[in-house]
Amino acid sequence: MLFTEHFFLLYFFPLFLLFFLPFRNTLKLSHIIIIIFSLIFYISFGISNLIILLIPLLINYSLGILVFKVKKKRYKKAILFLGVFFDLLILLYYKYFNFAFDTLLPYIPLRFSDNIRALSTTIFPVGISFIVFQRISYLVDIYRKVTKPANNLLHYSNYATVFPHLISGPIVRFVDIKKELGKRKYKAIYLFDGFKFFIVGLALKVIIADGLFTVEEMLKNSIHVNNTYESMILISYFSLRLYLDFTGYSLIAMGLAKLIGFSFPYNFNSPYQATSFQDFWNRWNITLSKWLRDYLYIPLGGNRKGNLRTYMNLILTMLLGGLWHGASWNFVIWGGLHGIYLALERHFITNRISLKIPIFFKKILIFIVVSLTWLMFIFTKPQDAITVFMSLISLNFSPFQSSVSHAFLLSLPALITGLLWAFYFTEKDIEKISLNWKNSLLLVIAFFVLLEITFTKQAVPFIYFQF
Amino acid sequence: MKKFLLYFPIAVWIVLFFIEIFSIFFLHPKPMYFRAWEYVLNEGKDSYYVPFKPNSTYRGKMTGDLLNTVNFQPKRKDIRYQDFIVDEYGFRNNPGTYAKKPETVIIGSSFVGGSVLTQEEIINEMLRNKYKYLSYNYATLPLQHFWEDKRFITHPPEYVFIIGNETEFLQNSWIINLQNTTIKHEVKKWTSLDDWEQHNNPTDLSYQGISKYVRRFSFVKYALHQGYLTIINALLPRSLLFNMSTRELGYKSESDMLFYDIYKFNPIITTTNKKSIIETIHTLTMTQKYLQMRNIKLVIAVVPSKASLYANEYMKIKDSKRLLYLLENEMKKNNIDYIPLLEDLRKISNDKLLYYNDDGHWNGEVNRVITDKFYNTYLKNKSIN
Repeated sequence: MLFTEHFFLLYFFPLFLLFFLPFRNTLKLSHIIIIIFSLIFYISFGISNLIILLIPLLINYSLGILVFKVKKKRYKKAILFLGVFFDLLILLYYKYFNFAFDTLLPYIPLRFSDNIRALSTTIFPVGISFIVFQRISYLVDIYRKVTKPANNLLHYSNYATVFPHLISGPIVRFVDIKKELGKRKYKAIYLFDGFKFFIVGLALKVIIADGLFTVEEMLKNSIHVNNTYESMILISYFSLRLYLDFTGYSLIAMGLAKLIGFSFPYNFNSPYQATSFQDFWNRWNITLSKWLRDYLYIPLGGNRKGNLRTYMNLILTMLLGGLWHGASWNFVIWGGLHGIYLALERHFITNRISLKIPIFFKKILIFIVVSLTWLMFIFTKPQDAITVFMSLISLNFSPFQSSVSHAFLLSLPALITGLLWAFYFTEKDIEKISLNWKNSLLLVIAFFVLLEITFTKQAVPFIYFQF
Repeated sequence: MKKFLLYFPIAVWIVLFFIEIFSIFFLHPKPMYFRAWEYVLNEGKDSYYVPFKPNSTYRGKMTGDLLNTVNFQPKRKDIRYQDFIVDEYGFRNNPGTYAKKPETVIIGSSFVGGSVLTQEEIINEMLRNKYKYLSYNYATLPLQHFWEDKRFITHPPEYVFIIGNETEFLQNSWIINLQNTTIKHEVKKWTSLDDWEQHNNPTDLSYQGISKYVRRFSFVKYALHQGYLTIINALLPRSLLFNMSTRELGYKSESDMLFYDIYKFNPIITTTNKKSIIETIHTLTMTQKYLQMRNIKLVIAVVPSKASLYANEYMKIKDSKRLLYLLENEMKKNNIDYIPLLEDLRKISNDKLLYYNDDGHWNGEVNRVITDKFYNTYLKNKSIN
């Protein structure tokens, strides 16, 4: 069940609201309603997912209490290690086992290979990458005394399963919503605030991001005949679509969470307005970037152990960040490239080498480099990315393919709006939509328009859904 | 007032939910399609390789298949009434037709199935009503299915009548070279639609099944789309609406006609088309040979495409330069029995509309010409069954 599906929009969520709103300030009952509906939501992806969600949930909850209660630091650490190892094991098994097996196959003795292959799985639990990172953050934060464990299993289950962030994040930490889990005071303004975030997110997804999809898909299928213009369009369209698709999703999740009474953190903050790579990562998939910083980069030593080690830590963090996106070499290369950009940038800053470029050109430069690096995201085979890159530098300016030019013209409204959003507005501007007659009416009209588009057009899945 | 504004958007959302619930449980809506074709198709399966849902009947309004793809709201003249009746085997005949052992089996794609036509406008019905001659509509299955159908192995018909438009014949994809085989398929006869539904379409209670069902019958979805069509059709001319579509169709604003085949197919003689004709003739010769082995006579009818009759690009071209002219000549040379249609249809195409504006299939006028010519050429002097 996706947030843009007919069933979710016209059955699941309104029905949920009908149950939830009358009991929104009754702590226990509202928790139970949220959990039941979240489990139904998760079951819609296949009932086998449920076991993978629930059993580790119980184990993590118990380990969280143990980490908190055990006094000796050595034992605390051991329990934390056990919990993190267990969570990572689930992720490694479901997401990376087949990839590792295929990569190592030439080195595995033939007599073992069949036995190992038998262990492989075809199940890919939905949202596993986000769920596991969230669980790890819970255990580590208790260990670091950032937070106390959840008051009871109901609180923890609510945190771990609440459906707006279950599938594609944002990676919400326990501390982010702890207050709202413990003491709920639902304000009526949440209804309007949640709705406006939901509408803007849905519009970014179904009108703008999906509006760019047709051209991108056409050019993706013709990479061997694309001219330089077409390759440029392919890359910039994907770059823009990836952002709008994911920020759209995150805003929908924020809006739905707000309607339930939770304040999820922003996951994007106009990343294409960044003036450096570090700035970009402070604005792109913020909850993941922060997770990588707090639970990987800093434990690796961060920038505390000299320049060389800092560069290595940056590259290693980004390599693993790339691998988190999927069990494939192209994601590793993508992560590695970003690690190198960050390391080089830090090297320049450390050695006070600065290029005096106007801010506008800095933004353009970052956008171009980031977009070129997305090539590794577009294609599963690195050679396809190279083909596009070669056609880009071939400076072949032959005429457009006729079918592409028509689709390109049709996509112009989406492109212009997308560019405006990416380079002029920010996610936080949504907060400025104030409560008045005009805005309420406009939001409702937008809702009708979005429903019509969602129901009529062929659904384009969220890109980050696959991670 | 502020309180009202706070609750207003969510209240609208919840009202939509109640409308959905009410419409699905209390109105028992029929599918929001306007084509009986989709209504009786085996959903999710390729319509070329399966019959329709057996024993099903549809009676209602319909519009052409190209209309909705370009967001045109139907004009009053575009809305037609259709009776769509399917027999106990899933073919478009009156139930019980096969039991009377029809002597002609008519084979073809959606053109023969009559996706746009009411029951009395399809050839088998015309033959029955006008000439009291019983034939069997076998659309939309390819010829090989007929060849392996146990019913026609046990009681072979006298004629196999293949009808298609020139695009289909030239692409040679749908006819498929008939393979000489001894395989026999028992085609199941269903007592009722419910009987078939229980075996083939059991109620799917999975999330996918339920969500698909409620989406299909969604009143909100239907109403929103109708509202959208009304607004854009009131604001924008059809030519602009057409250009906003990404579908590879053709539209001529002067005649207000939509074309499926205008850019995909060239009805003029070219080197490539000549090659295709050679392949088609080979296929038809082989088909004729195999059918003769079962004492079945093959008759062909090739109908000019909509583009070749009504698109400016091709309308004024001499018949001798037309692909269909060459195809008919080649059939003649190779002793393939065919009903010549090019001249007759070209003549009447100015006075009578042979294709509806909003559909890619020919209409009942063409079927009337085919029926008369087939009857007069092959059946007139035979005893009437």
